[in-house]
Amino acid sequence: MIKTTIRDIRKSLGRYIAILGIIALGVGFFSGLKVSRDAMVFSANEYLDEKKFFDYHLVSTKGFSSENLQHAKEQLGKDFIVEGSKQVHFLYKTSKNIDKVLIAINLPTKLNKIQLEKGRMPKKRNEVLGDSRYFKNRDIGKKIQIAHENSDKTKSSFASQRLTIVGICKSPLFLNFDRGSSELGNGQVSAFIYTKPDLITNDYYSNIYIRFADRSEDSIIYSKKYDKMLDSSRTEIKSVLDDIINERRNELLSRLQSELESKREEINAGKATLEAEKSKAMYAIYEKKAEVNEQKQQINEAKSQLLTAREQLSKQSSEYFAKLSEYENLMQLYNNSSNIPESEKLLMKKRLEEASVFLAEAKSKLDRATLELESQEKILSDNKVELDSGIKELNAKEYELEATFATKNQELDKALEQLAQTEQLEIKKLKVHGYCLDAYSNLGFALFKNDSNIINGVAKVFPIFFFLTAALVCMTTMSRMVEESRVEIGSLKALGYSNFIIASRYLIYAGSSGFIGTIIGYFLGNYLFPKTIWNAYGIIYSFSDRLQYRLDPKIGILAFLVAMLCTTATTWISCYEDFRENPAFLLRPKPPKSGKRTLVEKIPPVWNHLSFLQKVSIRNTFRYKQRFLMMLLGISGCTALVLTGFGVNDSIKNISERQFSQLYNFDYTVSFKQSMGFDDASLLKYNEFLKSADSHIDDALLIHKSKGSIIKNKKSTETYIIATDGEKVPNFIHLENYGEEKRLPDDGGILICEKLAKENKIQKGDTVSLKNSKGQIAKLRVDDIFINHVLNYTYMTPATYEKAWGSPPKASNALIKVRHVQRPIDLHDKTSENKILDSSASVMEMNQVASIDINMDTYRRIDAMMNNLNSVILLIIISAGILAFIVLYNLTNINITERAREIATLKVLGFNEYETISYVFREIIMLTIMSSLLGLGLGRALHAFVMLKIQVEMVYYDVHIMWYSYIYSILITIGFALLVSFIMYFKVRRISMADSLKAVE
Amino acid sequence: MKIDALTDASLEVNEGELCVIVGPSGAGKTTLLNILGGMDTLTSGHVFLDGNEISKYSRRELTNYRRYDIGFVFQFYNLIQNLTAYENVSLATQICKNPLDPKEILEKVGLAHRLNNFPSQLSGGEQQRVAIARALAKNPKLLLCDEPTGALDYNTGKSILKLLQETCNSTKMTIIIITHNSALEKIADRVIHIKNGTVTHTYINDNKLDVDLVEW
Repeated sequence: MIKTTIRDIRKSLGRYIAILGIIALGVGFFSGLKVSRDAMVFSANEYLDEKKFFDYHLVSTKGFSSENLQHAKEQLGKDFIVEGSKQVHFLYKTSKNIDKVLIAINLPTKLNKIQLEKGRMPKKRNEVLGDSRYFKNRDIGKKIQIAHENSDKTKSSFASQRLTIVGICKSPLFLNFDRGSSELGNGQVSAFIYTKPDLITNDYYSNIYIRFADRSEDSIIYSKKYDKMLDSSRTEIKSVLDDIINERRNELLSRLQSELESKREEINAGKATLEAEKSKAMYAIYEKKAEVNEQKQQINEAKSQLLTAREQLSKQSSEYFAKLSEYENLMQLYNNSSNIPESEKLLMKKRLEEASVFLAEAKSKLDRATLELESQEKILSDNKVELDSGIKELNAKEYELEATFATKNQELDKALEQLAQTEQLEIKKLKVHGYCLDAYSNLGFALFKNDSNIINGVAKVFPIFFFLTAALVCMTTMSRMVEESRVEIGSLKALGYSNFIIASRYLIYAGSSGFIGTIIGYFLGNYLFPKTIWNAYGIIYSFSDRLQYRLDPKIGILAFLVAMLCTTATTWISCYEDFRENPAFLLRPKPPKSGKRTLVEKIPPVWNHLSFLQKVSIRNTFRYKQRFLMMLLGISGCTALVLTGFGVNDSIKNISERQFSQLYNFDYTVSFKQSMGFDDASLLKYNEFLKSADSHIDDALLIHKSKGSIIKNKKSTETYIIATDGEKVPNFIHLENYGEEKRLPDDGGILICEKLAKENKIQKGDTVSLKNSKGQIAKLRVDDIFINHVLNYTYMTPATYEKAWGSPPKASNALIKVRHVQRPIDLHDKTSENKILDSSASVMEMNQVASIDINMDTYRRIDAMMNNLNSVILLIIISAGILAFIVLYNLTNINITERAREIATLKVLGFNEYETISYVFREIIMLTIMSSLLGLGLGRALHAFVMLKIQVEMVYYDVHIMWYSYIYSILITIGFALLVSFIMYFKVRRISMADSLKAVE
Repeated sequence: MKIDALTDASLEVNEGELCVIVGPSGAGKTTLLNILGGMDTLTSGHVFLDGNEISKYSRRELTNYRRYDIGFVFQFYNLIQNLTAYENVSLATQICKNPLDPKEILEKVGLAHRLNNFPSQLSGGEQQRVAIARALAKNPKLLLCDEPTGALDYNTGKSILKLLQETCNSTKMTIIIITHNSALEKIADRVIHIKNGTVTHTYINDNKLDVDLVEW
């Protein structure tokens, strides 16, 4: 038997390989897809485990001090590994002078370890490692300058302003291309750098990362065990967080207070200095004044002395005058009396002359003295005047000084007052909020879970198809084979061999083929599928080169069982019928199946219009019901799969475009630092903002945006609540359904997105409970439903909001449309993108603005996420193609082999090549077209089913199939049919008349 | 291992003759017929029909040869199961230059009432008659019959042979019948004996008999 079987295999190698191939496909698909998700997750897990990725992540609005960190470490103890991380955002100018935002992180030693790709680790303080996704090999050695435009605070965070890249690395904190958002620049961080700890001078940590010290073997990421593990310690960690947050608050409070205290001291000291200075100055002035007064006094004294002297002189002079007059009188007397001796007269004359000379001298002395006195007096008077004005000046100065000091004092007092006020404010503002996040808060980590789940959905459906087809093909092939050796079986039976032994030949044939197929398929599938999918994801996720192949024995055994069932069971079924017959019957040639009239013939108008050969084809097609059915199923299955592939592509690929290019008609969202109401008064600041940005902002819509949830039947679904002016909304967002634009209802109604409606079974007109961000619940009427693909939204007017929750909504966001941007938005439109980036960057610099969120970024992100599926879909389409090819080939092969006699007869009759071939292939083409059309219908159903299976949280698919996908599917199927026909053509040609028509002797 | 099907098998047949080739099984009769019918090729030698050298024909020429010049009748009829009697004959006439009317031919072979039946609904003799009708309708120059009565019972076989003889007598068609039944030599114009792939003996039969008169 074995010998015969081997000979069988050699003779009909094509058939053997066909079965082998299809089993391999089925098994490969099945095990490959099923294992893909596991391979991906396991690989990620290995990587993250090796790098000691965090389990929990503590952040606070004011960072953590080293004491906090130490405290946390102590409190958490041996069960956890705790590490602090310092992270700083800064601006960096590229060589093309474009501003990019980078994040600097100190090199960790315990958790979230980096992987050096090229270059070396930093040794000196100003050496850093660059993000290998942004910096390439050629950038090693390049310098990074902390840009001048950075705030002083930022600049002072770095011990060195000029850094050198000495290597590039990967970081587990950034698994995909997202590097986080920032308040700087355009709001998006472009890359990370890792630094030596002493480069960042901040005295606080921006994050604390925590990880379980011991991980049990099977707490693989995303698994139930993993989630349970995370939940188990959450409360403990939260309480530690609360502790250190309090610590931090107190620390900051006391720091604040001491700062303020020292400031106050400064001011007071200033005041004291001022006082002292004032006294000193005043004293100086007094002294000067005293001096001046003294001088004045002296002058007065001098003056009075002069006066006295003058008086004395004057007295003396009058004395002399008197004496002179006396002498003159005497002289006169003497002159008039002659009895005075001449000697006396002469003496008298002499005395008189002497006296008069003396007097003249005295007089001139006196005059001189008087003049001198007078001039001296004048000088003294002048001096006095000077002194007087000096005193005036001094008085003025004194007055000025008083005033200045008073002002200065006032200022200082004011400063004290302000300080007091500031103190109040700062203390009020000193709120420290802490958040305990887990691994899922890391975007790359969370997204990867989503992406790997998509594969799972697909893995559930497609393999079934393949296996079914495999069973079909096996059945047909083996029946054919059994039929061909009909006579042999009869002879063996006649010879007395048991059914089982005879059957064993075929069982071994099929079984061995199935076995080898399983092995090949299993290993190929386990290798190819994960690898392809991994490569597709590798563009996005940065642990790509570390795929861990997983061989799941359970799946292998299951696949093996199914495969063996396929092959052997179908073989047995095929044999069974024949085996029931007696040998003699088997030995006679099989009566050919009788011809039958087909249904088509009963429609004379159609039938009569067909050409003769067309009629033959139709009859032939329907003659072999079983084979017909199989061709039908096989081909329609192929078309269905291809259509599903295209359909999934259509439904998914365009989501991002639909949402961000067609439904959304704005460019970015601004978050303001302060919220404002929708009333006119509050809008002043908003209008100011608009005015200052008028050069680049085309239009803006103020909105209230908060997170709430819809509650129905105890189920709560998160949704964003948007309240805004209904009139302007269509310019920014198309809330539409079936092409119809929906308006915001005026009177207490809301609009919800389709995902919310479908998931909660809400219909137009229903009333739902809506919880706002404060936890208040209101009942609102759903006026209409709109299409939305990313996240969930509920829209209403501010009036509705107020009516629902009692207070008017506060708006702190605005949707912005940038000028001169090409609409609809195209991801590849660099010019428009730059305009948007520029606008958002300028807006970021404004005081009122806290942050921005650019649509194009989310667009790109979602687009990439959806694009991942494309490779997988492509793989599926190709496999479907191979499947179709094998089915077609097989069935056509059988078809031709069975009808060799018929074909030979035609040749004998003189049918030329073309005619002979069309005779055979007309049916095939016709059948293919028919099956294809049926396949379209099947494909639609399959597509709907698959879309259901690949649901992802963030996204709501637009389940539809484009018209051209239908055409592609049919074309591809027909293409395969043609390919098979082409190959079979040679077979038909080779049919030799002489051999085929040999008598059945 | 090379086996020569035919060696030194030379023969000649004239137009309008009914020629019977007789020989035991394995003699090479079928091979001979196949070569004559353009279904097989010679390794060496020549075949001439009506002045044309068939043995030098290309594939396409051979196809046309079979199409227009040859009619073939097989032992096991080889009718297209999926076509009615009428359609089976039409299949052949569709591609001929001067075909005869299928309905007429079928009537001529006595199957007027069986036009719309499928082969599975016909008896062996009826099926063979359809096959003959098919061959005749082509209006060929040469009609080749390989053991036409091999699968039929005595009486049916006889009626078939009668049909062939009548056709030969009434038209200018040349008919070659292969058989291992030497009794059929009596109805032929020319007889050729083949043994072990070689023509051993040919002769002209002057005492041609009617089929009815021959017994075996």
